[in-house]
Amino acid sequence: MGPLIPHELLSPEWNNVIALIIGVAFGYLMEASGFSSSRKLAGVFYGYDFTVLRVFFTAAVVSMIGILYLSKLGYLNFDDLYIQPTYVDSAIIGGVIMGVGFVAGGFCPGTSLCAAAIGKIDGMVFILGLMLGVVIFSEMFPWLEGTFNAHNLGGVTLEDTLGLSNEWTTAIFAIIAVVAFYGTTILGRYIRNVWY
Amino acid sequence: MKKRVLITRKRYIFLGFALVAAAVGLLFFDGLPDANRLQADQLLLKAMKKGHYINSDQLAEKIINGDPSLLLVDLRDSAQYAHYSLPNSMNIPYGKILNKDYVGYFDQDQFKVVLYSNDHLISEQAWLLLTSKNFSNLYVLEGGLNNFFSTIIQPKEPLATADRNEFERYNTRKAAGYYFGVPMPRTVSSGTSSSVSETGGILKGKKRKAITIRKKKKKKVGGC
Repeated sequence: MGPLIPHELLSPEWNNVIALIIGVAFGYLMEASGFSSSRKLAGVFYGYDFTVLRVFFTAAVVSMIGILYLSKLGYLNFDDLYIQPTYVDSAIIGGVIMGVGFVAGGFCPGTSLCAAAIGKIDGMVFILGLMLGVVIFSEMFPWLEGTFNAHNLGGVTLEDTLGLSNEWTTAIFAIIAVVAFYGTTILGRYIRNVWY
Repeated sequence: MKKRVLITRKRYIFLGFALVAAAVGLLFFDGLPDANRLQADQLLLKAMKKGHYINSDQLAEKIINGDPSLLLVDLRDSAQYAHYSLPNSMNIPYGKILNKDYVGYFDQDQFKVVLYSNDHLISEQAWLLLTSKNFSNLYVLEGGLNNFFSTIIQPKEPLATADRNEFERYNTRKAAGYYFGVPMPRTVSSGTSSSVSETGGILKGKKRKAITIRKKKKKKVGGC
């Protein structure tokens, strides 16, 4: 039963190997989806290309469905999955900064590595900016620590906050996803062609 | 070109329906009955280790010390529970232990659950059932309430030739018995009737502590 390493079905040394395999696969799929193009990525914000929405929403919904079915079939212990703690202040401030950076730079951290890997200069410059931001944050951390750790809600899920079961949340999100895909397809017919 | 667009469109429609069908299917699929159950050999190993027993002396000590991690579950029917029960115990009749209203008390890692009944046969069966569902932190009171009575409430005086440890144990049990309602010698001589064998006196007056069961959450390490 999974997860494999917490349940000692694989030794912890496999962590980095699995990360490498998943990373390679993830990079390949992102490049295959065209996510090394900053204009394609920024398109979801400007409304002329919704590939980002479709790919990531599909990935999220497929993951939710897969995890729940694996749990129900006894292959995965749902309670042993790691849930990132929610720090409200950090999430909001970081989200704003990330959103501005995404639209301005046309990349998120993962896709910038994809772009740099195929030799795109804008990807490389984005990575430099990312690292500079990390250094500045690290140096300023003593002053930011309070805000960084404020309002920790712990590993909350939608089930905890909304009272909806995981199954209902997944079903609702799947329906929203399909409606969003159809909606953006219709929208795409009315948007002028943008060369990118 | 038009045919290709049509095929692609049909493919996306099919995939969209498949996604929604898979998601909606979760609402009706309760999972396989054997999923998340402990395997037979693992259950047998746990049962043979006998690490899930707690004897009357250990339990009495925990109750007297007010161990906050303890949750006592009386598996007898409500009439027997009302007649006598251990302090701060809750009543979940044996037939209802897998009921959705009560299973949360067992599927948690916040409290150590001690199951008891009149003897330990029923509580042992309950332990097996619950452990097979992969619930942990479950214990059985060895010998049940019958043994608790004969050990703590009415301990047998050791023979004069017994060693010192036996006498110390007897004295400890007698002292513990006062906590559980055994009348102290001065109470008996004043003629008050608080025989534990009849009513369980002090225990009925004790305020039951409110137990809030938090959903089982283990600390996990991971993330970016």
